[in-house]
Amino acid sequence: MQFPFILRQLALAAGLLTAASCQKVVTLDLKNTSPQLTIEANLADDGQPCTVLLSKSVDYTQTNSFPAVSGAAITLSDDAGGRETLAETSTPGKYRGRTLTGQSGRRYMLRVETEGQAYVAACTLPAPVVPLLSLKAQKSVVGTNIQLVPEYQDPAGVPNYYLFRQYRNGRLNKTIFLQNDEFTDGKLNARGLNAQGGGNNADDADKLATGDSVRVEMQNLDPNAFEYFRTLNQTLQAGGAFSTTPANPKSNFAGGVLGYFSAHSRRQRSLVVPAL
Amino acid sequence: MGLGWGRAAGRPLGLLLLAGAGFGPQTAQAQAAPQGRITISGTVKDAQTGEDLTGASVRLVELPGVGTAANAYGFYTLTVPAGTYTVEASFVGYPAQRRQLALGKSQRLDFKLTPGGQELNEVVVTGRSSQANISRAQGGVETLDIKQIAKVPVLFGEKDVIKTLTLLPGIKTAGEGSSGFSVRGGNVDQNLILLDEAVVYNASHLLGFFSTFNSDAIKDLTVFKGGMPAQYGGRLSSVVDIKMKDGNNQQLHGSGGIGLIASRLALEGPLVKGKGSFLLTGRRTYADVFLKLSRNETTKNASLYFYDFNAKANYTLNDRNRLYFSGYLGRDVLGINNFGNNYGNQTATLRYNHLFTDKLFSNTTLIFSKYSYQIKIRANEQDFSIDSKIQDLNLKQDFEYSPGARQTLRFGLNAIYHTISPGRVTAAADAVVNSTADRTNHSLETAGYVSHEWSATDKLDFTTGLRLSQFSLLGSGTYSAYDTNGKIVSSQTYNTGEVVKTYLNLEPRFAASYALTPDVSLKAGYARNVQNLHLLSNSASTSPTDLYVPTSLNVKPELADQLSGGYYRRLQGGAYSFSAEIYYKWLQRQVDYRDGTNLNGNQDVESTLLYGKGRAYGIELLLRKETGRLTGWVGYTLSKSQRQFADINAGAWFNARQDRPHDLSVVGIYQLSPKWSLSGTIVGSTGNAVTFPIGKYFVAGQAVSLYGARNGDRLPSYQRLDLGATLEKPHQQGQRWHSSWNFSIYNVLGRENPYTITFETNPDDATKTQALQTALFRMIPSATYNFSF
Repeated sequence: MQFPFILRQLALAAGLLTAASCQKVVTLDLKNTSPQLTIEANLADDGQPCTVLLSKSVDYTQTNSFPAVSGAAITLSDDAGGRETLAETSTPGKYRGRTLTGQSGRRYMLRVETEGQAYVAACTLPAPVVPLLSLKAQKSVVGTNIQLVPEYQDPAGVPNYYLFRQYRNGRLNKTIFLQNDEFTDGKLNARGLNAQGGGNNADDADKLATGDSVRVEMQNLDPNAFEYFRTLNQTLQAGGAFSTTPANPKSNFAGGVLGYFSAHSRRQRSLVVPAL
Repeated sequence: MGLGWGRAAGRPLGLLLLAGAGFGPQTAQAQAAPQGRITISGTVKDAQTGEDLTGASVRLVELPGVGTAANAYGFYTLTVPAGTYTVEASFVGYPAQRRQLALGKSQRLDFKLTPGGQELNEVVVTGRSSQANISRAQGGVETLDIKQIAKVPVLFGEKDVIKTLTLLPGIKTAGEGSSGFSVRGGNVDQNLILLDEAVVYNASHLLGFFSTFNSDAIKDLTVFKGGMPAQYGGRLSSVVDIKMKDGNNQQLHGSGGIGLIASRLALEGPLVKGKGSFLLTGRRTYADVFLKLSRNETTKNASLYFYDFNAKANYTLNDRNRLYFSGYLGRDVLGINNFGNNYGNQTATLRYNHLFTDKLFSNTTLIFSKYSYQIKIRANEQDFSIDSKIQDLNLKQDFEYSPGARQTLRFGLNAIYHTISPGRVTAAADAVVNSTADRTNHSLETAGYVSHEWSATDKLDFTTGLRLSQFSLLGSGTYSAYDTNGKIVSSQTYNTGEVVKTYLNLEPRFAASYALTPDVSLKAGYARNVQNLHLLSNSASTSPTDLYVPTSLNVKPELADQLSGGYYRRLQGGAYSFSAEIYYKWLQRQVDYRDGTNLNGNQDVESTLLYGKGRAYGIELLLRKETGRLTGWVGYTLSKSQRQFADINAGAWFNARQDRPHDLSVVGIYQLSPKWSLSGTIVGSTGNAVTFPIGKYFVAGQAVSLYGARNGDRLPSYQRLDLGATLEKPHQQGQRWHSSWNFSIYNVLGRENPYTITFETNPDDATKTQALQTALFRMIPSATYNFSF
């Protein structure tokens, strides 16, 4: 990752200095746009087929109910000659493959066609897969929170990209934890899973305590998929004093659409948080 | 002020200055007095402190319209026909002094003015600008005298020249509590901020809540919003020229202040009585003392403070030679648990004034200036650090030549050697991170200028200038050329000192004024400015880790052309003044970066850059009340500032973040009694141009905002009322100790002015999203005790 901690520390310092600050929910006269297609496509190396979710955007002030897009023609192919059509499941807008599974080192192409428009993305499932060696819990560098440290040995000499999802007592933390080896090439990882802005507010339900059963899922990502999630995190934290002008994340789909296609590894470790 | 010394009878040099070379030796000889003309020259100083009175007016009572103004070093020169005259020197706040002389040959005449008895009872807010504003050619110039701003209420009670500056039309603060500012629609990095001629790269302390300038050390500040004279260059939008006090050369004095979160102490006195003086000031905040009150362990153990020192000394060797030294050192310290950041500026200026003849004044300056930060992080029992600096070595040679009372010629040379080291990680081999490569770059920026001030008639004044600036990026290092998608096209490695690329630019400057009556004038001006250092900021407010990139193979020098005009009027014998100024500015080769770029630690920042253009225009109205018990001003700006980049907003023009069409500020100071004075400011403006969502969509398990056109929305408008009161014990004869109390309330009405608006899932109902507004300061009362002895 870049130096995300710098900005977080600055924001924290600004927070200390401005204890007098106050927040309130405001009603704004926001502009609207026509519904935009969102594609969320995942293929992991866990033996499961590819899943694709299609939905449409809504106005900001509406409730979080995103219309499903049915009847799309979706094909997945790989660089080993594999090819299949994904069928819509009983859940509208959710499509699933049958035979093709994620293989490390293979390149996959996904084509989504709906309402006369086609969108194409390609993604390589990284090789070799960097395994998750163990999971540790420690006191957070900042504050008194508990954070998890995924231990893995970064391979030297090649750029690597990682994504982590964290579950507390079975509940998914919405924060998308990202790490890369820009400054840590070849190191045994010692960095904790810090919120880098994403995941809206880390609410209390995500705070770890002694005795919690936690699970961490580690993904090895393709660089373009990583870039999508990095910029998605920026979008999620947009608007703060130490953030850039808000923009939409960089999709790896061609054709101007929201969302991503990620072919990734999936390794998990669990832990009961000890007394710290 | 350094403007306009040298007016009255004489022959125009015309546009010969465009020749641009060979002035030094020839002009130095041109001192013989033709046709019985003689030159009087000397200095104008304060009799009690020995402080130079920059901008003091010197005129001949018998020859109306013949006069000049003292330069930045208090020096004046006036060439007139031989005769018997009454010479009058005057300055705001000082009774005029007259001397009658029979002038048969050139002679030296020094004035020492004693401040008038109005020290406590008569507050003059705008001082010297009123008359000078009518007669000098330049428009868009404002001067703030530190004494004048002392009573304006400010945040945390810490008087601040930069914060007060943003109360003038055309100068807008970058955000609540920020020391960054935008001049006439420009970006925050387009202001040349000079402290005794040294560039100050980061003018903010504590993330911007304080500026780096300790008011105890400052004499005055002049800002050029447009039409800057040719001796200044390097930034597109403005020049903020801050002069430190010289220090009292008659007597040892001290002063200081104790405030809620900062205290100050200053000491000044003679080195050799009447010949040299020194000034030392120091300041430290103790905001972190309050953190100790917190129950939260992290907050309790955090450190958060800054300190700064100013030092200045000058020594008059003799009538013709004078030496000055000034220095600044400031540091912010910020530490939270295993994280520490300390950052700050250092500057040092060594100046040598020399009078070749009574008409040729020279100033040689050697300047060092540096901004650096160091971040230290402790992880797994191992430290690593991130270091960055920008450092200048600067040599300047300036001449002022006054062949006759109607004209002044300034010319000079300047060379700056820049060293920029972007953030570099240093870590032990077994640390959790790797060290990064050194990406230090070097560049040489040189300039030569000629500027000619000419009073063509009693009514018509011209300032014509030309600046030639050159910028060379130097090796060693590897530099690449990029295509429009940010992909490297070619790379080349250069040896130490080898030129990577050189850019040459001509910057014409022109200003003219015409006095319709002694109290009314019209002005017009044009200026081109070039900028070769570009600031990339990752945040809406300024951050200590903002990144400077030099002009390179890809980044071209930024250009600005500004046309401006104005109407200036003194009313009721100078009790009021009014000005209306208009401008239009064309900006070329502006630098921005691609959406989603993260600049912190970016090892290949040039690949993320985009180049575009901008335009800014507006009208600025200012009405000042300059005398009486009530003084102050009302300023209003109507303006627009836009940018256009092929890869942002689909190539359409968009509003710059700082585009705030309406901007109003009212400042009033009322002397209630000899003891009490009251003050108030009202600030109101349109909100910043920002980007709000135009919808939302579902991805990665959550609702995500969908963004449309850049800066297509606005924060709600900003309004604030501040009040202040100053209690001063009337000065007693023979008493040295003098003290005052300053009370102020920032944002009296407690209006929650939006600082940021963020969009998030409703914490109580995950099916909804909401807009959350953060306001920084609801109401901040403060008290400061000031003393002097």
